[in-house]
Amino acid sequence: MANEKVTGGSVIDAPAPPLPDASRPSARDVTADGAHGVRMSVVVINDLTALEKYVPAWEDLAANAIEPNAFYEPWMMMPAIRAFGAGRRLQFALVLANEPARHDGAPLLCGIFPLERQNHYQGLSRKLPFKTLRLWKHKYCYLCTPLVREGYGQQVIAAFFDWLDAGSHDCSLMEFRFIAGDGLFNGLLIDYFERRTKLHYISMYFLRAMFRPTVDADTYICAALSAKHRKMVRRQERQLSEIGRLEYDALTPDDDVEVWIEEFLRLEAGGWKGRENTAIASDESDQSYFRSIAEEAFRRGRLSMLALRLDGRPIAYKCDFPAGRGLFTFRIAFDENYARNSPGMLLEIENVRRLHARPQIEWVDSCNDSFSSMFNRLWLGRRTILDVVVGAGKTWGDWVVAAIPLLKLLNRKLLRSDAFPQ
Amino acid sequence: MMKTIFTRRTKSADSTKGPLTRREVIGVAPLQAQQAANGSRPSEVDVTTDGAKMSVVIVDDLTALEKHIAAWEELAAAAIEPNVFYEPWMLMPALRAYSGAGRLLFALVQTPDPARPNGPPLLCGFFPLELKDHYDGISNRLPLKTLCLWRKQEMIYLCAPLLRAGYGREALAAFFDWLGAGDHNYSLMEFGFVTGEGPFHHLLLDYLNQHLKFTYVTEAFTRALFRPAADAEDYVRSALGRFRRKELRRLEKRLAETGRLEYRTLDPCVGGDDVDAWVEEFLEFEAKSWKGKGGRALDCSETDRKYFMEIAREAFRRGKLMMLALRFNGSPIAYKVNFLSGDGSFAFKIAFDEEYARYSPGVLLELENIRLLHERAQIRWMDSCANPDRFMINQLWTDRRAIQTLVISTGKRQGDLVVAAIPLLKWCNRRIFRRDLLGR
Repeated sequence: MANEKVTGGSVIDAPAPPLPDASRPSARDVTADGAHGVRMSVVVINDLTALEKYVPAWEDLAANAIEPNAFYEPWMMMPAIRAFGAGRRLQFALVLANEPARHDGAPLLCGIFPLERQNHYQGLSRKLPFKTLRLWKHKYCYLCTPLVREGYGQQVIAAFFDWLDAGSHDCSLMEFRFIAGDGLFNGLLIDYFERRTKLHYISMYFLRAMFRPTVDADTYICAALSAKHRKMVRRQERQLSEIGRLEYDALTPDDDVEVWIEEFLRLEAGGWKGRENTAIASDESDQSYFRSIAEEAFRRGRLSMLALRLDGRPIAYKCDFPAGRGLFTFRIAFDENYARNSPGMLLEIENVRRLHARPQIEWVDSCNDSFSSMFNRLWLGRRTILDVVVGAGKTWGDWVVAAIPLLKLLNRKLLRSDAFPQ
Repeated sequence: MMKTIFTRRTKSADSTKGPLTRREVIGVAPLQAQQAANGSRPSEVDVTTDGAKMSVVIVDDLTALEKHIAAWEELAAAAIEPNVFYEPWMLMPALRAYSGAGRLLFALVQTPDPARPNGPPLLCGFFPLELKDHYDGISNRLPLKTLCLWRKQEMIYLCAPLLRAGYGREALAAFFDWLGAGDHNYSLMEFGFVTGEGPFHHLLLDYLNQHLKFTYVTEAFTRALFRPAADAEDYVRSALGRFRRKELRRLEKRLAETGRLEYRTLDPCVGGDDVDAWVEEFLEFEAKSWKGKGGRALDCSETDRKYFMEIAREAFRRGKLMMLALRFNGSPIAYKVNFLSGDGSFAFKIAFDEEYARYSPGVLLELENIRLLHERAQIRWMDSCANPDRFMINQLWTDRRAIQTLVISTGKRQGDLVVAAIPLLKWCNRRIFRRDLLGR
């Protein structure tokens, strides 16, 4: 996939390419000639009905993406737009390849960038008055790496930036939020910035726990936990099994998923998350969002739930979504009455055992950003999560990106104020 | 010989694991570092015994460094992430051959060995540094004293410092404490050509995040990385299209029909082969190729030639050299030299005969390399060490490794200011003076 340099001059406004059974009143388009004569174009969509027409193509893109991201797949994203998109200015930049020879004339969807428009840049503690496009992150979205089709990586990135540079979006900055720093998408960004000498700034980064299997589960647990800790865990497990019948239970395709969802929501709402109103069940739209994605995931064979039960009653629960060769941890919950027996930890250790028996899973993203989480102790791997900000076409944008570090310094040294949002 | 000792004490954090994660928390000045900067050189020994007590020993000449070779060897074998270029058997000859007039300084981070409290200390970190009076990360040199990880272009392809597994976090913190203590007067520290992902990168990011250091990535690129698939056939199928695979089979067959075609390997596991004959043949072959014509072959310079002979022999002796040749009627038409280190490996040099260019001998040999690597389960990755724009290897090897250069302020005021101003300087130069500032 050789990359052809697309100069700013070759970016032109052209009518949107024909799409099967689609009429897009609000679609805007930028075309550029890519490699191998592939014409890449960007279509911008800002209404849900227009987007729905692309769902089959989007599904196909998700199945052939360079880097999986369950949160940006249509079955997770479409319900999210309905649940959390109200009042937000969302727009979806779709990158299409027009290869008449290969795909019966229909353009091939090669990249999708869910974007949110904002009037201010919020990467610093003070809002800066620059209109910003950023990858959309709703409250249950833990990773924002856009989906890009395998084999079209460089062309998609180039086409997206050409669209940004053409400036029809009227924003100065583009913020790639919450992207994985260790993946191929970030590699494409790095290469694009290097080739074009484009200024960019990593405005936020942190590490989060990641699981990658080793030789076997026992080796993993020995490497992760000290002998003392392992002994304590065994004692906690024994104590629980003395109280009643202790069992680890995984959701199977024959189970009634509704029962599992119900049980999980109730367990979560019963704990501190319920008291602080941050449980899924605390909010009506959150609850319906979770139900719809969990049911859909189950239907697709992509819901993995694990429970620790004491006399049949759940005391710890976890819910994960597999994607490609990876797995995203969505939520965990446990019964506080048993806190001294660490049911959550017991369940995670069992999970480590079960993951080692699933060779098709190469990694698990904890999706957990807190400093002192159980995952940091138990899981040995790490992944970087980045926010990268770049100028979006206008001169102002590049200038702001260049000045951000200096603004941070001034803030910290002179005004002694916090240059970052907490 | 100058020897500076700087000691730091750390809490007994569970350092067997990767760094803790934490969101960037900004606004609190790094107090300890500031206090340390104000005081004179800290006391030599700290009396507390809990946890890993790290001290930094500074060595500034090669003879003094030689005394540490045994410890350094041992560190390289226990490093969080292998870097063959910073192992003593490769770095010492490189320093002797190329360091020339450059001023060098080696920061060795040590801790008392918990197994043998009265024995020699455990080396936990090794940072080979070059002292520069200017910072030249952007095209106009800035008159700021800078410390850089030592590197020789075209020979040293990765500069990730060696850190001991289980002690990485403490060792890195001790190094930064030494930087911040400032009994040197350097304002900037440049980590050039380090990995942009993996254990070292994670430790570095975590440290920078927790200590709110001013840092800026001045250069980043990706280069091809090999990670084995289920088997070689699987790998090639996912990397190349059906037509390309067919074409390569056809080219191989065509060559085999017109003469005797053989793949040969100098295998450290087998041994017995005459390494000198291989090395000589490679040098001669490379000199005849386009690299030789451009004056870029190893044989074009006596220093390069001697350096390569030395490291190749030593690597062979240690079972860390892997040479592959494709021979046509007895004489080589493609060559590849790899170095192995721990569970990783590094592709050092490649060469092919242009007369046979239409048969893609280089690609045929790369396919053989993929087959061989799949036979060795202990090798989990191979770094291509190639330029990011190498089309052939980028196509054949599907993974990428990010390599980056970051500059970090050691904590002095002018250092902070410069690091924060670099992007703006770049922007001004480009927009206002119409100069390209990326130093290329």
